[in-house]
Amino acid sequence: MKQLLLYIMACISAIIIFIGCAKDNDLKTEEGLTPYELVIPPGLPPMVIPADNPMTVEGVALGKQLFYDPILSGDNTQSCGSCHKANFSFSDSTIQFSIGIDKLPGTRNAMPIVNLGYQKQFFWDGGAANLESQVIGPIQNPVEMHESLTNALSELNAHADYPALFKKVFGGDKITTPMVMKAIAQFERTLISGNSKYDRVKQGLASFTPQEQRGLQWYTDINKGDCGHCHVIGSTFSDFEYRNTGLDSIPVDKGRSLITLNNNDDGKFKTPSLRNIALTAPYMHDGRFKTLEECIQHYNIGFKYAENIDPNLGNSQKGRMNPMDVQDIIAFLNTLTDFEFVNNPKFRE
Amino acid sequence: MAFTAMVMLVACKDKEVTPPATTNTETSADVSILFNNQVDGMPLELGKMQYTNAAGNNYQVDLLKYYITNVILVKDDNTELKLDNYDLINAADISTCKVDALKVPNGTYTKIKFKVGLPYDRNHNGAQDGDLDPVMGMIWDWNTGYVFFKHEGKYKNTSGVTKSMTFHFATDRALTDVELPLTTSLKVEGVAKQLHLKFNLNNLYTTPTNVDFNVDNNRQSSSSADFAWIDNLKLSFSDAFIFDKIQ
Repeated sequence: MKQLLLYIMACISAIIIFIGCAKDNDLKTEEGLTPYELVIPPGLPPMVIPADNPMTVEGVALGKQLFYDPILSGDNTQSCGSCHKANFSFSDSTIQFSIGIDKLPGTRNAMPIVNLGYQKQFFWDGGAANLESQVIGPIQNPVEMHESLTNALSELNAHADYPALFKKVFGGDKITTPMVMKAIAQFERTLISGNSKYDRVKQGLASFTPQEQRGLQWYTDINKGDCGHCHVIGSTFSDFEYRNTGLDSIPVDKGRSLITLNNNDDGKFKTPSLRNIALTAPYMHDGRFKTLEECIQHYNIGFKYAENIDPNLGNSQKGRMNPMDVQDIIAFLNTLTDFEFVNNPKFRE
Repeated sequence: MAFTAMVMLVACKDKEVTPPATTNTETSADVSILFNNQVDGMPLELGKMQYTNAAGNNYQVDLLKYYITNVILVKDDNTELKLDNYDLINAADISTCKVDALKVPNGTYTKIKFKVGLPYDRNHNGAQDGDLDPVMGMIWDWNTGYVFFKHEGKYKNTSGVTKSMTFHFATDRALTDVELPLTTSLKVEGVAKQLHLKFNLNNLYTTPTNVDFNVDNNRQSSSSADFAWIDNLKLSFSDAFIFDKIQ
């Protein structure tokens, strides 16, 4: 039996390698560009890069420049990086709702940018069908960067440096929207985090304190934290599915159903990754909880019985964790912080 | 992965568009398919309160844009010439109101088929060029997907007050197939031809009963309450496109 398994695994590996080669040949880049080699940490799976946006060193550099350039906002005062700051795992400091160029607040908490290449859909409600498509959302949103694409493109095309940079990466004589989308997506795919204490423990390079170890136990224990149903332990720490977590009996923000137009999805939001979670307060789609303790106590005692509440939560017993259990889980969550990631100069402005 | 490869392969094939390898002008010719936007025989002029719909509402059109994609010309032997086209028709710019079919092989074509809107794969990706570039103003940035058809303007309500109206026809549910017999067949004989189609906006607002703009004036395909409206409009497109003439 073991031999059969090994044989099957070998076959699968062979197929993957074969496909990998075929794929490399397909990912033709423009003349003179250097393919960008993504370094995937041991705890994370290979990242699938879309065939129509192969990563290049030049494309990633251009994407980074755009990410930090306020030229993409209406009055050229805000960049993507204004609300996605490295110190906070690329979320927006401790603010509940980011403030756009017109001094207007948004309605959802700015999401961190970490390991996005593993996600299929973007925004809290999954409205953006891929990472490239996500890019134009904040640029055009009246309460965010509030810029028209027409205007952004004409500014880029009139810029001293950008036309040559874009031409080098994408060819063509004029900068177009899909080029901007692709460049920024390329940079964002490089924001990979996989060197937290948790990862080092997994690799045998560190060990948990007794409290962290207990926290890990409660995390997976379905009669305690039961975090792992959705924030699947290891790898990306999320299944990226959409759920109603009982924040309100009747959802104020309809969330996923605004996208699917299906009432069953009312109040559902994407399960966020828990990597670097200690850096991304406040929490939930609307940033209603200031601390991890408030968050965990919501799942322990605070949740409300919304009609379509996730059954794993709805059927769990209120008050199943005592205050010490909660502190243990927080101690474990703190091991998911990757300081090398947030301090990496390759990612910072 | 293998599936991705297949999809890519198919996509590549599609890009080769139309004809066999021949470039001999005697065996093929370019055909322009022209969309003449109008309202019950009056040419469509933007910004003029001069139209009346079937319900008797006085209205004007300020913006009219729609996607004509995947045009197929059907020969008298039922073989099909497929264009992998994604064209945005914008009434504000007459030069956009056409689809170019290049090097159409000689023969007699008796039918045209096309879609209003974008098939699933094209509909859910914003990073596309040309008429699909988001700068064309036809894609939702909060829910990746294109608006297939936009009609924006004004109407006079029952008290004679001018009110604004917005119809945005979108979501995968809205993808519409149109098939029109060419009552005069298109004979391609090595010389460029024009195939004229009319698009009569008034015919869109008659199913299942005449649409009264006082009641229905803001549909943006953004809630399930718009599903019935989408379904009705889908049926109406077949009436709105009309074969006109061959030149």
